Amino acid sequence: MANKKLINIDVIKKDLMIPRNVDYEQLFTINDNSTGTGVSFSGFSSSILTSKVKQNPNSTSFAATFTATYSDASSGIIKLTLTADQTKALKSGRYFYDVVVINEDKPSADVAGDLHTERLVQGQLIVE
Amino acid sequence: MPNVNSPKIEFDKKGSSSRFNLDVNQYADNYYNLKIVGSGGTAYNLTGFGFSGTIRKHIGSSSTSTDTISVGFDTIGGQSVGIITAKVTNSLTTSFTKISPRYTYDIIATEHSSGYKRQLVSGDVNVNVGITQVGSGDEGDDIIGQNRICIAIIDESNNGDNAPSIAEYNTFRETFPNRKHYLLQPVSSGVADTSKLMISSLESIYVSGFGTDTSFNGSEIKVHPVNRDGGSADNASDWFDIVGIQTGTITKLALFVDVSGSMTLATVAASYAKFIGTCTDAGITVRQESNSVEDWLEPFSGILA
Repeated sequence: MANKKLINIDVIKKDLMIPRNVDYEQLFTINDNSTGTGVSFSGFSSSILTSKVKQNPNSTSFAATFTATYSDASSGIIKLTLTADQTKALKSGRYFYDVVVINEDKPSADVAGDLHTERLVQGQLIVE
Repeated sequence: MPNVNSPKIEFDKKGSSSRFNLDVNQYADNYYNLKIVGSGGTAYNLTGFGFSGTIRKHIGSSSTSTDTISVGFDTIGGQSVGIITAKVTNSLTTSFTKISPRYTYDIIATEHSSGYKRQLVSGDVNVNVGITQVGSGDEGDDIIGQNRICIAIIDESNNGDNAPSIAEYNTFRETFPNRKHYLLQPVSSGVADTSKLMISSLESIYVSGFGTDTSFNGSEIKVHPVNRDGGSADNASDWFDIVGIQTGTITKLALFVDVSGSMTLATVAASYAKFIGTCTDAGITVRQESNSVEDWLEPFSGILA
């Protein structure tokens, strides 16, 4: 692993309010500290988002899994979604979530790339 | 590039060392650029120094696998400009407890010429506990293929000269400890020649997906021979059976077939077709990887989603 950051960001800290029984969608723009503009994730050879929800950070089971996708990868806009069935399955209360990206930076086809795992967003999730 | 706002760490041979606290995101890679300056506040030339660091639960705590974790340091932009980067990797943070997630760390600088050691910086490690841990769950949660079966079909790699280096292999094993890697060597003799694929020092640390299986010839299998079938179905080897894939246990695997010259896809065409057919019947998607320089590890060293 290269000894440098692939992206220079501050973790977004945001609590989310989620109504039950409805589809839910939340957008985040991940900004580069160096340029002040959205991080271009499209420049990596591979970039995968993932986001889990737990009722207790120490628990081993997950309350839900967001579908995490790029709304605009070149501008650093990511999207978290839960379906109505997923929000229905959540009991009212407080949860915790974060969003993690795994970027692969591969200099050429025959050379192993760098894999970096970075947290993009974290916060609490209040289910109404 | 180093952040221009990197904290300045004073480093001279007098007084106490600097303190700087680390905020660590659990289940993520964390980097900290530290600008080392002398007593005059100017960049300190670190040429000739080496660095080591530890994280412990508290000062004086004993070294155990759970409360002592190494921190890696390398210079970036040259040692002469006095910037080091401390890294606390994703894999290290998995050992952090979520209850009372606070640790302490220090970095020791060693001057190679004199052996002089001095604490460079120390401080607290405040852990932002993580929720999403990549690769921790079952196959449905394995979004980057942490547990992927990796099969390389390759007859030679220039007697090991084109094989991965020891460092590359160790990085692979550290990053993907659960990936099972298999080397199948198309040969005419029916006997594998490991020396054509790796040098002896690599062979001594290479862990094959075959593990401690000695059923083939009484020895642990590093490289398994397969037929050079030349497209003849009668001569096809059953790669699926050789690797020992259990139907119903996986939905995806990764395959690399060397086509660099000493063999091509035609060399093993029948075995390849048999393998793809068996995988399809078993509901297994085959990720086909490539490498044009006879490196049998690189194709499996990245994301295999």
